[in-house]
Amino acid sequence: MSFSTEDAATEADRALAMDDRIPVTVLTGFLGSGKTTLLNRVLKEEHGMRIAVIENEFGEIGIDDALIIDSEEEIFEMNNGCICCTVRGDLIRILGELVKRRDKFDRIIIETTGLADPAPVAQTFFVDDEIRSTCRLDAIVTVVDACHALVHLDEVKPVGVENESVEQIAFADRVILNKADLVHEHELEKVEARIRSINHSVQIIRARFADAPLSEILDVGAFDLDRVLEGDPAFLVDTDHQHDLTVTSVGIECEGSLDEERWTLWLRTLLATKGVDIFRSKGILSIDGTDRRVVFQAVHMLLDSDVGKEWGEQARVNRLVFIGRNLDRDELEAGFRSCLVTMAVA
Amino acid sequence: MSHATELVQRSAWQVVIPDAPQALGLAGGRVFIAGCEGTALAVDSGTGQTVGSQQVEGGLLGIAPSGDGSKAILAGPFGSWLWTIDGGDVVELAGKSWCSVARWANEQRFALATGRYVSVFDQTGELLWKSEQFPSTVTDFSWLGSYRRLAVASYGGVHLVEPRPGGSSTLMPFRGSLLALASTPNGRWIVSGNQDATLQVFRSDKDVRLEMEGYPSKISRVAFDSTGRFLANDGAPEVSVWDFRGKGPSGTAPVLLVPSDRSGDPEIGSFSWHPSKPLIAVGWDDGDCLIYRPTDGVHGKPLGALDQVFAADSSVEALHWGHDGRSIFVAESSGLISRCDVIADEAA
Repeated sequence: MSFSTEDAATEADRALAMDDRIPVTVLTGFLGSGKTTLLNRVLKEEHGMRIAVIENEFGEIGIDDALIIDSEEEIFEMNNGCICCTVRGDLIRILGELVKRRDKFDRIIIETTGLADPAPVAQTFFVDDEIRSTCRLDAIVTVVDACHALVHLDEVKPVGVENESVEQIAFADRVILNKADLVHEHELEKVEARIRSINHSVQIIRARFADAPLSEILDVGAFDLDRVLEGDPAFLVDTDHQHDLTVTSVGIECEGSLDEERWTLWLRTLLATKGVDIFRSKGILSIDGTDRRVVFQAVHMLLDSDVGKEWGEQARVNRLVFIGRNLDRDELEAGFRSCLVTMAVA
Repeated sequence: MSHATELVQRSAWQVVIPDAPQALGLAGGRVFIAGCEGTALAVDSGTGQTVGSQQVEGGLLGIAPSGDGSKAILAGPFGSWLWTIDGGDVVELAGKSWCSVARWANEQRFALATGRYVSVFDQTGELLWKSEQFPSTVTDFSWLGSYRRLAVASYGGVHLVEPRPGGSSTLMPFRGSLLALASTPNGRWIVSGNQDATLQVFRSDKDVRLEMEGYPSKISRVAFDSTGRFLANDGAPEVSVWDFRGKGPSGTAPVLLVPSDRSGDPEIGSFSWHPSKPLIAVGWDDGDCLIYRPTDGVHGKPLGALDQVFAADSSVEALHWGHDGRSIFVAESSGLISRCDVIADEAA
């Protein structure tokens, strides 16, 4: 059986529509970027959805019309000895409570503080079975102030201190480039280029007064890679190689199938040794001997994989991306290619 | 659903609350129910007649009745309240902080965990003592022995604290997120269920910590029986029961209590120990309620239920054995609360 692109996209959309887990949007952004304005807009617009908000800071302005639960930003290290594997205990607790009342709302938005590292929020969805079975991480949306973005992104921090605005871009599935009306076109292009140099696959939406279309923010399905790639086959793969930036992304695209054992060992070793620097990685893979795509997502060292759609008659092309600090493109590509099954020469 | 038998007679009475029950308590001949949307109900355990009801904003996570059933603490994500059943007075206790656990020491005192603190109040709701800040939200605590100490579960270990000004505080460290706590009646053993799918076992009188690992998921329910010999916990498709006789469970395997029908992979909804006998009632999310006698089991081998079985109409959210051991009170996700009478001598 095979699908045309259109059929497959429809199938992916249907699968998403049938997924009855609660969609969760993580909203992050620089201080003063308009994050709360966006949130208030989402809450006030007539979309018919009932939204629960989990917030861990007092917003720049008050948030109206929502079930709002304060969290305490309790960040726990996992017991695997890796400092990059952290989760939010408060979120586990609050989400566990919210799912019991799920007939009262349709979706959840988690608003993080302006300086928060999004990794512990995202990792929370990877480590807790109860949450995974009831909630679906839909997308990480980062709001950026077009006027001050470059200042934040280029700010030199003391040794050992992360530039968290860079991390927020690195983790994002969507960037809302707010206050775009206050900046000249060529400045906007510079900001967009800088954002893409960090995270080439992110979708950037220009906005004024945080007026981005809700369809670009909610029910994005960004963690459903099958769906994302149907819409944009080049999503994970960049063409503009950047070597001079500390935080950047490396996309790999190559045809062929992977030896499952070698691939698993390579990826686990890579994340075990460099997981601190690899913020996010994701991809769709062709595993030798299987008819279906394998989809994987990782936040730092914590990894999740699942079986996706059948390849059918489509070319078995592996597509993956690593976003992080001090990434060595050649080493990553060589390592990945060493996992490919090679045909024996007679 | 399974085979209802004549050994447990269901539906001595039934009442319904409008939201999904979160917790069920029993005291002074009254059954107390907390619903996720904030409904609190007290009913006469003999007749099922409502003796009091309350509604609080923001939902409820727990309910803790006083020993005589005249009062109950309502615990929720947006606050905690002391509710006097007769008269209906409600006193706010500790602002808007998250509170999921409250426990009475005796008729005069109770403690509750609010956010990163534990506070002790008298029976009128007056604050007697408030702890220092713990490293994270307190997920559970237990009064120890003669109620002079509290074992408090927070990130990083179990804190043994004396709830009085200038009282001592000792940390029994464990680098992890603790979800549930239980202690034996003599306070010797303290056990935590944890996010990392382990049980941590502490000795309150020695620097000893044991770890039971190998569970497939986090452990969020732990409970000792009335004698302190048996510990039941979740974290697996079966309820595990550990034997703490003698030197404790180190080097032993638990008895595993299995559901009657595994085909739908039922999950544990709730469990409750018999008030005096080595019997445990387990409610599953497929609606089955089963009674087990762990002493019949061989360690490491699954143990099926005794014959005393009855089926609820929806997932079992909470259950509690009556103080006389002759009835079990069951709260289902549909909001149905029922009393089931055990009429066989073997279990009663």
